[in-house]
Amino acid sequence: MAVSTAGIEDATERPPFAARLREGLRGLPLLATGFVALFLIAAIFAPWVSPYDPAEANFLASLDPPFWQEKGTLAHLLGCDQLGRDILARVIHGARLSLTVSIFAIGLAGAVGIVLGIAAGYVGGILDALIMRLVDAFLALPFILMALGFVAALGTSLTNIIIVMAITNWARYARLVRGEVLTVKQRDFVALARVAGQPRWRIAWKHILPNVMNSIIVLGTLDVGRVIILEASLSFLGLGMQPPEVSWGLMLADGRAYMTTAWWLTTIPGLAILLTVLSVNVLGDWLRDRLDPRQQMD
Amino acid sequence: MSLWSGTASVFAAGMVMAVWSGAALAQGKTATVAVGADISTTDPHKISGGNEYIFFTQVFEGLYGHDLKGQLEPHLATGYTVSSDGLTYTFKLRSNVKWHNGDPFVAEDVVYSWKRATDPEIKNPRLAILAGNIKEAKAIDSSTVELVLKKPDASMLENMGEYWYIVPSHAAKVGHEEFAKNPVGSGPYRFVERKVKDSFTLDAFKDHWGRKPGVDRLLVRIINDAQTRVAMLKTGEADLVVDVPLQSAKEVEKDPNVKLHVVPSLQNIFLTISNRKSDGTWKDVRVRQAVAHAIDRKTIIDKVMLGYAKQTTANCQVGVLGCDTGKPGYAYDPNKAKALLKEAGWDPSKTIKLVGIAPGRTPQSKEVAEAIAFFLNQVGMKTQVEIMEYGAWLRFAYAREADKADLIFFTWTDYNNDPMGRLPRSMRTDGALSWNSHPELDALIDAANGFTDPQARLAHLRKTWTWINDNVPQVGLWTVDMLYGTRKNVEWTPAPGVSWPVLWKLAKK
Amino acid sequence: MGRFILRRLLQTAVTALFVTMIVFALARLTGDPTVMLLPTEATQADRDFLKNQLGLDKSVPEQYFTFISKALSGDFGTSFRYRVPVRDLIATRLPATIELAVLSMVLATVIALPLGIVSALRRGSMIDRLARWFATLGLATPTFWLGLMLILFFAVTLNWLPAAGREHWSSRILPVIALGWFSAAAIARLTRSSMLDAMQSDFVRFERLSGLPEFVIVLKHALKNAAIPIVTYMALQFGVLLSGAVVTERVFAWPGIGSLVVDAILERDFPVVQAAVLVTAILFLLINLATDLFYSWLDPRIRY
Repeated sequence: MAVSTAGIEDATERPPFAARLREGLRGLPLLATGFVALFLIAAIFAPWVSPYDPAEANFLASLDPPFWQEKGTLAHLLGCDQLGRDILARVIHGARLSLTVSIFAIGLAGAVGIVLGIAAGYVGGILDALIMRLVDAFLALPFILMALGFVAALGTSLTNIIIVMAITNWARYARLVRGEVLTVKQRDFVALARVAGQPRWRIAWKHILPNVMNSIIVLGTLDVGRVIILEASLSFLGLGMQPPEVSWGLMLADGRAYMTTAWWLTTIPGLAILLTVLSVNVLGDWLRDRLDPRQQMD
Repeated sequence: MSLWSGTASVFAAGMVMAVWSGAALAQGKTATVAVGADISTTDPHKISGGNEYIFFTQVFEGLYGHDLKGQLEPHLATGYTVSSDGLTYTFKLRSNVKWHNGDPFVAEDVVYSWKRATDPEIKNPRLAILAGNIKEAKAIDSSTVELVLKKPDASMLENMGEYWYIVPSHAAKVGHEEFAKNPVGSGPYRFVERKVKDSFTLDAFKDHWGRKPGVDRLLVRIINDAQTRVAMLKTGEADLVVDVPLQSAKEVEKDPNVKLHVVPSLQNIFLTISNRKSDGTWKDVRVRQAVAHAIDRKTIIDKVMLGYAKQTTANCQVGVLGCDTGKPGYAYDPNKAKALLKEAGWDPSKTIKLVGIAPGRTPQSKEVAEAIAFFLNQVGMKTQVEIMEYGAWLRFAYAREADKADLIFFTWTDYNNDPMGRLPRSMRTDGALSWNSHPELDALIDAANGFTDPQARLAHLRKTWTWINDNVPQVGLWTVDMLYGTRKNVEWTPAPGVSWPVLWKLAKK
Repeated sequence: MGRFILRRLLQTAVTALFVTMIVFALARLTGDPTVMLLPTEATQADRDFLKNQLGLDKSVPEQYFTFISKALSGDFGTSFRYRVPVRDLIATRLPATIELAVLSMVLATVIALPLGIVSALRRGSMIDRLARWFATLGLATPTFWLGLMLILFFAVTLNWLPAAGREHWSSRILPVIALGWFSAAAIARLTRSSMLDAMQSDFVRFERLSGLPEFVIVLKHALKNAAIPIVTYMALQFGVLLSGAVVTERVFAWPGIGSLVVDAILERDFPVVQAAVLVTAILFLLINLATDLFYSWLDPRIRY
């Protein structure tokens, strides 16, 4: 009777995947994560999840209130705007837009920031000085005015808004990355790699970048909220997303005039912004505690 | 009593009197008016847009102007005669007119006003409309002036109230810049001070020849944000608010402390069609008529404009000369639209582009564009909307690149009832903002100013509007109403047919 | 110390130069002001004439050098739209924004510092949890929405405070709350985490062992060590405040430089855009420079 002991030996060498996962997710803020998940589902599966086409006007339902109010119907759970478009549908598609803008803008800002930050930190010298002065210059300019200026120059298409967000944000990533690079640069394994003859870019890619990623991820997550609010502010000032795009900021700007008569037009997208940013921030804080406790507010 | 104490008591008494009278002056009634946009100049010969007039209407006057009903009335002149060829006008000037600095008004002032308005240094943006057409101005005597025109201009009298303000000849002594900084006019209010982008202050001119100002001081504050203006009306920080947003109209009506005034305006909303598009999309009149039939103006006015608009027919509103053509206009008939499109062979896979204006410039511009696209889609015209910020839209509209758009949402404020202020620029083939190319229409427009007999001219204008109605070079939509809000204790009514607030009668209880 | 000052000054100067380039390019990119300035019947000849008058027909580098050389002597040109010297426009509007930013910073600090300290000292308690919720919430609230809500509630419904403008002393209350809310939240968070870090540092642990009362340790040592990142952060927050002031000024009709620039951008009034953004940025740079120099004087170890 040969009892296999293989499984038992494995168990003592490494904790099973489930246990590691549990450890990694310790302290995960459940409510926040749940909401972020909701946001992601809405954003990614918008066309299937949304009850209506967000641009579908129905003048008979114009300014219908949410279903729990008098005159509200179950056909439009969260009510309609002045053109009779379903608010819930627009919130769902707005999530999609917020996600799109955030991901691409932060991705772009991060990419530019990483490249310039590594160049500055690793190469040093005059290049470092010049890049950092450029970073300082961008950080000195009030970001909303820059965003306004760029949008006025380039136009209000989705691509342009993404580019504008990236332009106003890259500097913080560059500064962060450079700081990290300077720390990592000193370490032994980098020196060893140099001695071994590895080219600089290879060292940057293989050794420096992975160490930097944690900070970038944390900063990026915390930035999602910032970008969402910035987009809403741009719409408020009249230079944000335009139809047929649906954004929460745009809904706020449109509905503002109806604040006293049709409160759901502003309160609901306002809540959407608030809850999303809140949840993402809480999640980002947790991430920071887990991945990069050293990082303070920038 | 020593010399010192005597002097001291006289001094003290003088101080008390000065403070007292100062206090008495300051005690006069001040009315605060909140408007959405600042004026860009205080120089009466540098006016370039409609929103400047909230200042100039109270401070300056022309030889002729408009009364509170929008009708022509003599201001600085009392009467005129015109030669048979329509080129020489002789004006009798009003005798008891004083300038704000106390000087009497004389014929020399009119002559100087012509010189100043046509001075190349001033770069008068409105030169072409009136002053540039005056070949010569002569003072016959101190109360008679003669104007010789280059070409006959039947609209001249109507335009005098807005396009050619009379200024005192002493302005020559201080120079153009200084005069603009401290403008002296003849209107019921005089200029006190201006804080750019913030406010301007006008004091009552008690020596005005005919109109008695309603309050002692007008403080006009620039408040860009519409909701903030409404809030100020409700809290009492503003006595009169210009441009109450439609959505707040109901709550203003309900509030017992404030009153809502709704008056039809001369601001026209229409769709310009890109008639010169090279692929001939819009060449067929049936296609254009289909668009006119496809749009449910009534629903848009009710639901989007909340009722605060008046439908137009041939792109002109009631009161405009020649608009009474008797034609019914285009009723909402999607089936007819579909039939017309089918007849014309419209390709249902084609997508057309509608360019609209971002919010802020004219109420609900964005929502209207979206609503129009909705209705066009319903009849099978696939429409894609592009909303541009106003500056970008203006640039686009001027560029008139026919292939870059199909339909363009337009707003146009007429200054008076004479359509010749709009037709040449908006509908004639090479007009500055015209996307048209219709030789017949051009001929009609060109002929319009040749008539000296008002009745004959009216008949011709009717003919012109009839053509416009039948051939739809532009799709007329509606005119927006102007909404004003006043506190209950303010006595004021807006002047109909005038596109800006006339304030001289405003009074506070 | 002298070398450090010199180096920082040089850095600031180069940064300022980059700022001017960015601002200049940005202003010009926004479009053609002649379209906005002239009425509809203007011809191309009129537009060319105006371009010449405004100096826009010269080459870009030439325009840039004119801009820089004039700016150095304090001449920021004339507003395209209002035809008054830009310097005057800025001089009347800048104090309003500074007042708003300073008051907001004061409010934020007065609320956030004690909150952050207490939160750190009583870690895990109810007050800590409340403080953290306040902070997280504050960071997630869009400033303009908060401003609108404040007006709706306090001005329109209760009629306690004015809705707009700057006349009355009480006009400041709502805008300062709207603007300072975000900074209060940010500073509270940072204070708490800096204090926590400082309190766990070896130095403080040693102090604790030596038996000093807790609050002495806190006030004297932990706070002093935490002060550096906090004050540095506050200097950075000034930039955030200036940005936030733009929307706040719009909502409350506050006559500051933020709303001046927004209008100028929409009107394509280049000289105003350039000058106002430049002034704001330079102000920000100077504040940061002063903060750095002050700290390096306090603590000679900080020289980088």
